Amino acid sequence: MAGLVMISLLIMLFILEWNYIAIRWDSSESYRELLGAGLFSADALFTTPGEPPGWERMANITTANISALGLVNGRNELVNAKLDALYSLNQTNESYDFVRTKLGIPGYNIHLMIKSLNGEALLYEFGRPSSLNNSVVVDRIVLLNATPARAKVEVWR
Amino acid sequence: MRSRKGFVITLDAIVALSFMLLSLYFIQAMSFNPTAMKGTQLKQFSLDALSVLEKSGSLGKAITGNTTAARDILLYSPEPYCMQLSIVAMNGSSVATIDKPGCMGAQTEVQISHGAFRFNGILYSTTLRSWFREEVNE
Repeated sequence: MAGLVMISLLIMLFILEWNYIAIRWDSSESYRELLGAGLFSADALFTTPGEPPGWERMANITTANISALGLVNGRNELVNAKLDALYSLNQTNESYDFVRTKLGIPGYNIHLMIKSLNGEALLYEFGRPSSLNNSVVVDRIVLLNATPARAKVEVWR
Repeated sequence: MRSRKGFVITLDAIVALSFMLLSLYFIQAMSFNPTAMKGTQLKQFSLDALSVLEKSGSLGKAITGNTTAARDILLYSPEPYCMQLSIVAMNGSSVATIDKPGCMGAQTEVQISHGAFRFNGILYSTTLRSWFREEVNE
């Protein structure tokens, strides 16, 4: 009788543990994908000028003539014209989707903030912030008008 | 005799299940390890910091003895990050070492990023050591 109880208890523990591992595996995989998307998009924005490099000067910004978006000329050196062009793409759902696609994260939402170095003043904002605690934030440091500033790229599903 | 056999079979089952449970605990402990990608994040930030330190002129100021701008860049890095910047002249003499405040203690999984820049015609090399504060790794 004691043996039966013990075996039942062990089987129950086994099932619970298996279930816990499955849930944890799934959430860790989601987290890894989310963080990967955050790192990837932040790198695209702050280390590349985009493709073509002068995409912000195009009269008609469409999928056909732009293959990637970036906000800098040299590493971390933000270009105001590129920031303005990106901001103008925040107006409609279609242009927002276009940005996500060109950053290589079509399945994710993005929210970009640039703040003063001490974090007190918000200097620039793009995209949609997450209202839930389901996002990953990638911190970067950039130069805006030759002054160091902090950039935060928030990515969420 | 039959009850003895039953006891052995039950004990065998209990031992086998315990082993399986134990191995599941090991799998669980190993299945979630975000450290590798966190390390990538720290590396990206360190390379950014080196680039911004140079392009903002903070390294040049540090060479002349004014380390405030460089110290501010390290100070306002994300809270879990610890950093130490060293500037060395090409003849090997140390020009400046700047630590992010509050980052004393053990340095584990240190990332090292190197750079070089020219100031007043002299070439300097920079080394930025970065690591996570201890409590993050725990």
